[in-house]
Formats: sequence, structure tokens, C-alpha cells
Amino acid sequence: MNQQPKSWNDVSVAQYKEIYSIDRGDYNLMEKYQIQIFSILSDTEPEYFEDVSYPEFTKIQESFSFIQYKPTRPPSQKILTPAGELFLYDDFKKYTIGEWIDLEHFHKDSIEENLGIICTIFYRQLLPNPNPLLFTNKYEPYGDWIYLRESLFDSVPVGIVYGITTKFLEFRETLYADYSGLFDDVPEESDDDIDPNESIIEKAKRIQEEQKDKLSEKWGWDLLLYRLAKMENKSIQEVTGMPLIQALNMLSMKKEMKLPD
Amino acid sequence: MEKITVNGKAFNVKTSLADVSLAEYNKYMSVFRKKYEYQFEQYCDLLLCISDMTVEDIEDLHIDKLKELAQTISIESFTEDDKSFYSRIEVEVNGTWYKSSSDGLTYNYTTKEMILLKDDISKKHIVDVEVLAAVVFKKLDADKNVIRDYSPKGVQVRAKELSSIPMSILAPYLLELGKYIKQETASNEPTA
Repeated sequence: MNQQPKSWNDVSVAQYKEIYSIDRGDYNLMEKYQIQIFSILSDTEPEYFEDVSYPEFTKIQESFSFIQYKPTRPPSQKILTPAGELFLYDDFKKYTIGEWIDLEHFHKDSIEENLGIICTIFYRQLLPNPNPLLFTNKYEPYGDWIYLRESLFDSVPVGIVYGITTKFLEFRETLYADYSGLFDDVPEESDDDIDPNESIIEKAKRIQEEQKDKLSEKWGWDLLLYRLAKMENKSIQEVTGMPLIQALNMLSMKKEMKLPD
Repeated sequence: MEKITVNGKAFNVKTSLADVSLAEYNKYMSVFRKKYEYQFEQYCDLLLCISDMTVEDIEDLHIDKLKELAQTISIESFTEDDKSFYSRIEVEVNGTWYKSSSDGLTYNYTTKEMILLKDDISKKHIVDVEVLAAVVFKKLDADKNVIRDYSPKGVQVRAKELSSIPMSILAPYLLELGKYIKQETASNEPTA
């Protein structure tokens, strides 16, 4: 074998993405699937694994057993890329709502496929600090470079960066619990709520509200941004730069106080 | 081989692996996979594979004798000699030589061979011993070099060529294969 990775720290982000692009369902036998995986991870031709004795292959299977589990190591605070050092920006409360929405999208779509892009959002350059004793470090603001920088993470060990997605998902769960009133927008349908004596006008209003709720569920973040933009009298593009917590607080206030759109 | 007499007529019944060809063994084992309403019918079909008796001749056998003869060929009946690779490394069929890479003590299937066999087993739900022989025994060229041909056509052709060799030659290879299949079956079984 050309390489023998012993843990996720020996596997790059590019290799990680590649092994997850392979569908187990395309192979009727586990050995055929494993040969493709081992070939990618060890940078060795598949024929090598076909030619070894089967007892030797079972030993190779054991040596790759770490891939059954996701990487668990905490993320590195600093990583080295071909373009220089990047630093972990994991104070999620300070993220903007635009950054948050992008992270949501890429996590929901596929963490494995989007890991490189996700890393570009979490790992940033530090801005020059005139006096570290007086000023805290500042990270570069979010930009439109996520696709440009994605390839910088190809050779970064996945074991030292994957942990940031776990941290993000834990924070996300807490955030949605704290703002559950804002995100649980669609009321459960219940015939008990319907007044049997409601007038035609009242019925029309009720149906209109139900339609609005269904549309809310459909348009999700876009609708929230639209509401935010109307409140702030700004464009949608401008409000994406609003701090996440501030944006959620404004929306929660609007909802609780039933302020009109 | 056992000689028996039924209604004054003498018949041969194959009772050891050395008497049974690979093709006959395949046919014999396939009977176990069929469903029968009556056990007698299964014994009858088994005996038809390993003897020169007809159905009418079999029907005149005592049921206990029928059962005893029908089940003589099985993994449990493999002798100590059947487990030895010694003198089962080369085989000649119609002037062509075939060789396995056994060192006389054991045979290490390569991963490719194991995949090939598992593929075949998954389709047929049985170990086809003619295919097994084709995987294990490779043709020798004029310079006595082994020709490693694992193509579907190559395996099919060799399987047919080797179908007439006695099952006793393939026995140790089948037992060795059985270790891996059994291990996998055991590991796939649900735990309490």
C-alpha cells in the first residue's frame, strides 16, 4: 500500500468527500465497496487489494476500522492551508444571519459533500491587530469567496476540522430550542379550534391565516429575511449582514407583539 | 462404491467423494435445495444422482436402506484424507494440466477469488463446485506457467473442462472456503 492511514488525522478533506461520494448500494458485496474505499484512503490501485490473500485482506479491513465512526477530535484553532494560516471563528452568536443561513443550507444539503465549503465559513483570516494587548483579534468579514477557497481545504486533515460541524450542530439545537416560538410557525391542525358558529367572514379570515402558515413553512428563511427587511426598511441583501441574535430577537418581538408586516 | 442387489439386479451406488464428479456433486447438492412433499421423493432424487438405478428400482428398496444410501455424500462424510491439499495441487484433464497455488498445507484464496465466488454464491445460493474448481485450478501454458484468467468466459470454460474430475480432489478447497463463508454467516447472525 502507498499509504496506511491510522486515523482520520491521516485522511484529507478531499479523500473524505470522495469516499462519501461512493454509494454502498452500487456494490452487491461489501468487499467490492471496501476495495474502492481503501484504494482512495491509501492512494493505492484497487488491483492491489484484489491480489492480496483473503486473510491479509481481513487484516486490512481491521486496520481501516476507524472509518466506521465519524471524526470526534475537537477542531483545531488554527490550520495551515496552501494560502497560509486560517483561524477558527467559532463564536456562533456573533455570526450574521446571512452566514447562519448559508451554514444551515450546506449542513442540511450534505455535510460530507460540502465539508470544504463549510470549513471556508468557519476558518477565516485574522485582520491585522495594531496592539494585541489592547484589542481582541478580529476576523475578516464574510465574503463571496466560499467557492474560491473550498479547494484550500482539500489537503487539510479531516480529523482536525470535522469537529467544528459537531460544535455547530450542538449550538444550532440550543438556538432552535431558545427561539422555538419563532421557528414553530405552523400550528397543529385541530378541529377543536374551529368555532361551529363562526361566520362566513370569520371562516374566510381563518382560512387565509392557514394559507399564510403553509406558505411560511414553504418559504422559511426567505420569508424571515423579507419580514426583517420590511421592519428595518432595508433590502434583503442588507439585512443578511445583521447579527444573528439581534435578527432573531427582532423577529421574535414582532411575532410576540403581533406587529403587522 | 457400494454394490447392492435389488430384485436380482446388481447396481453401483457412489458412496465416496472419489466416485463422484464435480457435475454429479452439484446435481446432488441441488436436490437439498428443493422442497418435497414427501421425504421419500428427496431420497429418490438423491439416489438417482449417485447410482445407475431407476425410480422403479429405488421404489423396491427398504426405506431405511434408501435413506442410508441417499445420504452417504455430505460434508460430514468427508474423511481426514479429504482435508489434505497434498497431491491435490495439479490435475490433468484430456491432456491439459491445471494447477492451484496451494503449498500442500493450505490454500489462501485471494480477495479477487473470494469476491468471484461470493458473487456466484449470491446468485445461485449454493457453492457451485465446478466454478470453485475453475477459480482454484488455473490452466498451464506450454511453458508450465499459470494463466490467471478470471474473466467470466474464462471461468465458465474452465468450469466445464473440470466438471468431470472427482469431487475428492476439490474437497479440501471446499472446506477451506467454508471457513470464510461460515465466519461471515456467524458474524451476520443477530446477537441477543
